Amino acid sequence: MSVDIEAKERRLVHRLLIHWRELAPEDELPPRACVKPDEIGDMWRYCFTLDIGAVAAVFAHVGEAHVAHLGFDLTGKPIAAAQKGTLLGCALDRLDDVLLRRIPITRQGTFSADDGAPVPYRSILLPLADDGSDINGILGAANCRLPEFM
Amino acid sequence: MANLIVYEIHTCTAGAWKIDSVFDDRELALQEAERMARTQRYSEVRAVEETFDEETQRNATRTIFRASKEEPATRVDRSEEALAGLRKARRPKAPPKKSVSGQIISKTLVFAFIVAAGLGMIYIVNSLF
Repeated sequence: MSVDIEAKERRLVHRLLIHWRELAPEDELPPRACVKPDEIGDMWRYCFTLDIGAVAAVFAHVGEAHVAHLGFDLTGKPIAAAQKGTLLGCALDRLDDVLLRRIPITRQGTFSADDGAPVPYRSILLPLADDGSDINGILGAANCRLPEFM
Repeated sequence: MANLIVYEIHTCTAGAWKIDSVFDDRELALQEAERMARTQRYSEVRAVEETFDEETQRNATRTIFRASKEEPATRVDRSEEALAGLRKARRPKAPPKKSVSGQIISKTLVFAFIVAAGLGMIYIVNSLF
């Protein structure tokens, strides 16, 4: 992977982490209402949000880069609809860990493209809580070197 | 089998340490640790590399960055570790010990010199009185 692409992927994850920290009150998790697309700006197309309910987690937003990559929109669908091995599936691999540890977790790795070729990616999961404590949402982002993410 | 490596940022506020975030990208972890240290929001910030050896099922932990309000930020990178290893290797060795026969000869010579000096003193004293 070229240094430029790697730096770009790293920048997205890092920029979103910094933005999340700015939203978070002292020693609390930021509420879901703080996540505003216009403030997230150019990162929003790589982002996704989850509503964490008592029964299942559901996609509340799926960025347009992911919709273009998948060919369909997972908004409103349970996270199980993001199949293992896909970019979103890989990005959600550490969800249980985030819910348990209540901290941001970033990930890098490879997933298989439609032609089976390994595609490097980077992702981040950031916990949200309307009461500052009990996680009821996730702000996430993932990008890779496929054309729809450039 | 491969080693699993993750990087954790730990922060300390009012004497209490907590795990702030987890990365699997060393450079990203270092960049964020440095940025957090610059905010002066925490009394201490450190980045820790955790390696899990799948073969031995053992964890190894080492600090790769540390900063505090009192001390400047420090990346503990591999080159520094290599330099530390080099310094250790270059530590001056103790002078080699003499062989047993060498020690016997040198002690015999010292003894002979003392006896000769004593006899010389007796001769001088006798010749004076």
